[in-house]
Amino acid sequence: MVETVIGKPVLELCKVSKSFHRRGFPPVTAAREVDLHVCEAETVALVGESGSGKSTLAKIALGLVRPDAGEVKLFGKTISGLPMGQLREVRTAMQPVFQDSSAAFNPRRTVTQLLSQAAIRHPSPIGTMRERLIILLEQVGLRPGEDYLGRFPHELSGGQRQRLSIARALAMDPPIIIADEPLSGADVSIRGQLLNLMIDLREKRKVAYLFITHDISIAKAFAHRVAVMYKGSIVERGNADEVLANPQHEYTKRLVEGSLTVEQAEKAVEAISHKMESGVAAS
Amino acid sequence: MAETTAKSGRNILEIDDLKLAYLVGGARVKAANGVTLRVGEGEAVGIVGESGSGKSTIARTVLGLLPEKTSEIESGKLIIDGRDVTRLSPKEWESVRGNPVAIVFQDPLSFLNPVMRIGRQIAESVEHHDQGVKDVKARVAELLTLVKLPVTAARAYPHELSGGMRQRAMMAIALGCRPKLLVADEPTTALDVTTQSEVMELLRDLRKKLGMALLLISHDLGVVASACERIYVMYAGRTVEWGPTATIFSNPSHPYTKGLLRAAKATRDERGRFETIPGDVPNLSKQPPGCPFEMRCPVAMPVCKESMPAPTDLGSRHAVRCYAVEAAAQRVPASAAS
Ligand SMILES: Nc1ncnc2c1ncn2[C@@H]1O[C@H](COP(=O)(O)OP(=O)(O)OP(=O)(O)O)[C@@H](O)[C@H]1O
Ligand SMILES: Nc1ncnc2c1ncn2[C@@H]1O[C@H](COP(=O)(O)OP(=O)(O)OP(=O)(O)O)[C@@H](O)[C@H]1O
Ligand SMILES: [Mg+2]
Ligand SMILES: [Mg+2]
Repeated sequence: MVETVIGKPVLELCKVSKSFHRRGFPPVTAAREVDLHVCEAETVALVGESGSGKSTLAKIALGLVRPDAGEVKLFGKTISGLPMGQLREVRTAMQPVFQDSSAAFNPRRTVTQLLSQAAIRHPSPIGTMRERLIILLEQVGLRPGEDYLGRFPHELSGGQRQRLSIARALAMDPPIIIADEPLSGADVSIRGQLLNLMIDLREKRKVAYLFITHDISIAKAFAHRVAVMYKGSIVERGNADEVLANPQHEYTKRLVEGSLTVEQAEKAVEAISHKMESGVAAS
Repeated sequence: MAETTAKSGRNILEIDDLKLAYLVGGARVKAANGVTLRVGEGEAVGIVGESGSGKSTIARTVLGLLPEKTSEIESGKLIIDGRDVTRLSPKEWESVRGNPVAIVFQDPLSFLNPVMRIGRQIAESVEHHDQGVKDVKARVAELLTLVKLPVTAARAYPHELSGGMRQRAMMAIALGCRPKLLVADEPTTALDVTTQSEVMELLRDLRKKLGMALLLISHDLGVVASACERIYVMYAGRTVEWGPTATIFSNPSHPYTKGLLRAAKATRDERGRFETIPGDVPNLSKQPPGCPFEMRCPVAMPVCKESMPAPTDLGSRHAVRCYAVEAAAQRVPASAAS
C-alpha cells in the first residue's frame, strides 16, 4: 500500500498527440490526446503493451520528440515548442533513465567522466569529487565504487550499466526522474535496493517519478497512481492499488491476470513436481 | 561430478570448469571462475543469477564474442556440437556463429545495425546461414510473423521500433540462422506480460518443431521456470546450484538460491522497505579463495573461507556447491544421493 500524496504538479502533459508517418507504412498513432500529470514527491507508473506508446510519451515529456498537438508543462510553464537552447536547462530538471542502456552513454567516456558533471550538482557537496563518485556508485550497488571509476560503459554488465544511468539521474538531484524500464536488468536483490533508494529520495528530496514498467508487482508496491496505455491512449488510470486490484478495462485485466507472480510460478512448479514425483514412483 | 547429460545422451554445449578474466586497468575481473554447464540437444536450460555474476559472459563465450585484447580464457574447456572451440581464432568462430549457435542479446541497440532496415538484417542472416531458402523475402516475412511483428516492420530502422519490438526483431535475425542452440540473453526483459508470454510460447513451439536447444539467461525466475527444464544458478562467476526446474523451486539448497526466491516476491516489509539479500556482492577482481557467498551467508562455517566446495550430488540430477549442504548430506546418509 502506497500512501497518496497531494502536491503541486511538476510535470503535466495536456492533450498530447503524436503519429509517425512514413511513406509506404500505415501511420502509427503512438499518443492520442494523452493527459497525464505527476506531482511533487509522487510516483506515477505507466504500464501497457509493447508498442503502446510509453517510450514515445516519455520522449515527448523530455522534449526529445515533438508532439503533433498538445502541451508539456514543467512547474506550470509550457516547455513544448521552446527553442533547443532553452530546452537544455529544462532537461537538467527532468532526468531520464532510458530503456536501452547501451545507447544511453557516450562509449568513449569513462564512468568518472560520465558521472562527474552530474556529481557537481550533488546535494551534499562534501569530500573530494572522487569520494562523491564512489558514494554515488555504491548507492546503486556498484561496489566497491573505485573498481568502476576507470571503466567504459561496455565494460559493465547490462544491469550494471542500467544502474550507472540511474546513478547519473539521481546525482543531478532533479525534481523529476523519467525512468523507462529502469529495473528491467536488475536482479531481485538489486531491485529491492534501488527501489528503497528511490523511495528515500522521494521522501527526503521530494523527487517525482514517471515510471515506465511492465512489472505489475512493482507498479503496485512503488507507485501512487498508475496509468494504463493501450494503442496510444490511456485507457485506465487511478490509484495504483485500486486499479490493479480491480481492473476495469479489458487490457488491464489481461495485464494483471497475465502477470505471473513468483507465488504463481512456485505453485505451477509444485504441480509439475508432484506429477514428476508420482511418475518417478510409478516407474 | 553430478553433471547431467541430455535425454538423447548428446550435448550441444559442454562447458567444463571455465575460468576467464577481463583485463581492465591493472585488474583482472574474473567473470567466470569455475563454470560447468551442459545443454543437451533440444533441451531448454536456464541460467539465473545476480546482476554482474557472469551470465552474459557465458553467452559471449559461447558465441566467440569475448573482447579479443581485453579478455583471456585461463582454463577450462568449451565444446559445441562435439567440437572443441576453446581456442578458436576469430576467423574460425565464423563457422560457429549463427549456426550451430545463434544469440539474442540483452541490449538490442548494441547489436542491431542502426542504418540498415530490419528486413535486410534478417535477410542477411538467412542468406549466410540457411542456404536452402530460395525466396529470402518470403522467409523474412515468415520470420517476422513468427515473432509477432507486422510484416511492415521489415522496412523500419531499429530506432523506429519500440523496445519490445526491437527485441523480437533480434529474435527473428537469430532464428533466420536455423541454429541448433539459441542463446537468449534476457530476451523478454522489456516486454509486458502478454507479449512476454507470446514470445515464450513462440520459443517453446520452435523448440518442439525444430528440435532447437535453448540456453535462456534471465534474472526473472518466472520466465525461466516457465520455459526451462533445468536451471543453473550462478554466483560471482561460478555455477553454485543446478537441477531440474521443479526441484530448484521446491527444494532450493544453496543459501543464495533460497535468498533469491525470497527476494523475488517484491513485497515490502512493515517499514515499507523492499526485501533484498543483505550484504555486498563480492569483488570479482579480488576473489577470496573460499566460497564467494560466505560473507553474506547465514549458515557460513569457518571452512567456507578456505576453499570452494566441490559439488554435492543431491540425486535426481540436482547438485549444489555448499559446505553446509554437504555436511548435512553426510549426517543423513541420504537414500536420495544416487
Ligand atoms: N521514430 C519513430 N518512427 C516511426 N515509428 C516510431 C518511432 N518511434 C516509435 N515508433 C512507433 O510508435 C509505436 C510506439 O512505440 P513506443 O516505443 O512508444 O512503445 P512502448 O510502449 O515504449 O513499447 P515497448 O514496451 O516495446 O518499449 C510503435 O509502434 C513504434 O514502432
Ligand atoms: N569488457 C569488460 N571488461 C571488464 N569487465 C567486464 C567486461 N564485461 C563485463 N565485465 C564485468 O564482468 C562481470 C560479469 O559481467 P556479465 O556481463 O557477464 O554479467 P551478467 O551476469 O550478465 O550481469 P547482468 O545481469 O547485469 O547483465 C561484471 O562484474 C562486469 O562488470
Ligand atoms: Mg518502450
Ligand atoms: Mg547480462
